[in-house]
Amino acid sequence: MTSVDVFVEAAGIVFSWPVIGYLMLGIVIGMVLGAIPGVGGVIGMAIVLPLTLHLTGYEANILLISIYSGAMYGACISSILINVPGSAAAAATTFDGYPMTRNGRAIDALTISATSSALGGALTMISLFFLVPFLSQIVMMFGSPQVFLLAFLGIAMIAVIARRASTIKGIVSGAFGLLIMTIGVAPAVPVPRYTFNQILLFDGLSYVAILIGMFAIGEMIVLAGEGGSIVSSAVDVRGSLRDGLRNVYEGKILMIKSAFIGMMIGAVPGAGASASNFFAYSEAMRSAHNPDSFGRGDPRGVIAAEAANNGTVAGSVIPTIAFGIPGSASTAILLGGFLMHGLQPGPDMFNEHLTFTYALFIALLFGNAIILIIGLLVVTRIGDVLTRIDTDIIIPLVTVFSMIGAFLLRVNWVDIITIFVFGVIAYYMKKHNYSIIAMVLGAVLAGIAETNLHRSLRLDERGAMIFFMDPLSLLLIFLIIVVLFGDFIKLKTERIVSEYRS
Amino acid sequence: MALARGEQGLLIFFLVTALYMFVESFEFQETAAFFPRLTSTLVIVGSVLLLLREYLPEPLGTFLADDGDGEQENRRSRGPVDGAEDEEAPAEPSAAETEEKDDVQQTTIFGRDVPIAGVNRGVLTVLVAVYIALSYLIGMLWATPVFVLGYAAYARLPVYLTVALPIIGFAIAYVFMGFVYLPIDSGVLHDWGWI
Repeated sequence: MTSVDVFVEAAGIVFSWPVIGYLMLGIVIGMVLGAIPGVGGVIGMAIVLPLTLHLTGYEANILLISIYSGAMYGACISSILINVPGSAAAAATTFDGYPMTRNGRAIDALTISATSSALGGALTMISLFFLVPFLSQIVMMFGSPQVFLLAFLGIAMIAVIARRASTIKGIVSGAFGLLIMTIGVAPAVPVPRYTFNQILLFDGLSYVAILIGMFAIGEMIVLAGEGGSIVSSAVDVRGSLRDGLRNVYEGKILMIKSAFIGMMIGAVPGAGASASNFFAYSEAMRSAHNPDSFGRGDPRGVIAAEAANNGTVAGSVIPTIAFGIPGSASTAILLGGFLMHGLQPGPDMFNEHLTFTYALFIALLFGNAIILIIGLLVVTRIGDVLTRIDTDIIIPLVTVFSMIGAFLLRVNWVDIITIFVFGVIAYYMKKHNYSIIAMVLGAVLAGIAETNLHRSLRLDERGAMIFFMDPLSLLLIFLIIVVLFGDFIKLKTERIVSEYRS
Repeated sequence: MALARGEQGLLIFFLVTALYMFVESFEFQETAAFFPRLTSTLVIVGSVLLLLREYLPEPLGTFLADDGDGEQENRRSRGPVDGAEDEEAPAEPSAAETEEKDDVQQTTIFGRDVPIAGVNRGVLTVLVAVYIALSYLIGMLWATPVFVLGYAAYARLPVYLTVALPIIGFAIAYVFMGFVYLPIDSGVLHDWGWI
């Protein structure tokens, strides 16, 4: 089949019922959850993931990725209306979005964010179609040794880049995630490990249960301490849709640039939308003729931040689909969705499952159109309602969904205990600046890492020397060392230089 | 800087778990033991370094030092000041300030002053534990409204929500039981014939 044939087949699947229904549902769920500060799309994806067990691979993953995309836009609503970002991905949007609200231009700001998000996301998704042939060639170069090293590199990058904490904390978190998944029957030889002769533990822990525990239950424990609603009274929502659209048209070059900044940063595991929206905002300020207006309600600030965070979605999908290395919590859950439905990231996603890959891209592309319509016609009218939702309503409902979802996985009480234990662990990890994403990534990648490690060791009778046999493996090892020890080497170098100067 | 008790507990948990898994790995075949041994070693070394970081020499201590101040993504400022005529937007508190604010609001339990935020989190954690235990005993379908009612009552939600939310919770569980045949309408007490 040619690429065009595959594209047409994928489009047919996306626009068929009920797939299109799940797409629209996902966007709406994502928008609503993304707009509630402290909740976000990650929780929505975490509790929906086990519920997709009975759906097809297309329905499940299009639903999940739509929640991801919708939440990326939804986070801007509270940023703009009440100066509280729905998630870190919309933090930079507050700088100019909220001042616009205070200047009586809330509708302008909401219009700008909807349009920039939708167009920025759409442009980057279209560019993905052109990247696919190159990606598939790169992916074909990766064998078992490289996949194993890439898993470690992914965890190392998340550990170092995703948090501004010490590298060791990230490594401990990631390694613990890898370790805990060794419970159960070993993949290489059918030997039970750490099962205490309990049959319920033979299948080990479920990484989906760990995801639910850490992202949903853990988050609810944090929220319980914050409690209540952000605002009790209505927000003044005034302004002009037309003026907002005109602002986007005038800032079209900025929007395109910011979207691709978001895409490039999103492709780096661990960087994510929180980095991309700040980076794009900074770049917009740097390149502006009159940067002093930024921070006082300049529409360009909203354009840059919002185009970047939706551009990140396209970028983050690349390492997830191509290498099975999710770069963020959302893509870690997405990877969970792939694996749950028998889809292995890597070369197969560009050959045997190319239709699925294209269907995801088309779903994201069409999802941006839905974001635009809902953003312009609905959010500009009732967006402030979402900011008044009491989190004491959300907490018990999310907990119920989490429990049911966890039980639905395997009807195994170990999964219920898992979500509780990891929920508590996640709370303390967040409190003391340990990387939750690194641990989740370790849990998700443990199976891939161990299987490819053993396969690699069997490929060559010299065992571990296989990892030093080819340039690509050596490059990956070099990158792991740079990522892990780069900061330490930099500190030492700066110390030596300053001592020399003094 | 001395380690907080919570962080000490977390690291000790990681360390003890990894030590157990490392020792236990010698009971397995070599192929099955390699990966757990490798990963548990990383956890053990990392946890020990972090637990002892204040006693380590300066370069290593700096390398292990943490320049973050905790999770900031979910920290919220209070809402906007009412009235568009206010000239200055309220400054968004930093994570440290917000945490301090949370901890300043206190209540008294068994004669001790404790932060309300911590109590709320503790209560939710206990409620979830009870929810799990009750689900095991009588089935998740029946435990769900009890949990939701318990939380709604503790959070002092309006009466209509305190009534509606448990019904919604029950309905959610019922839908899953009906549509995907999830066996949540009975627990071990039913199996034992106690109910």
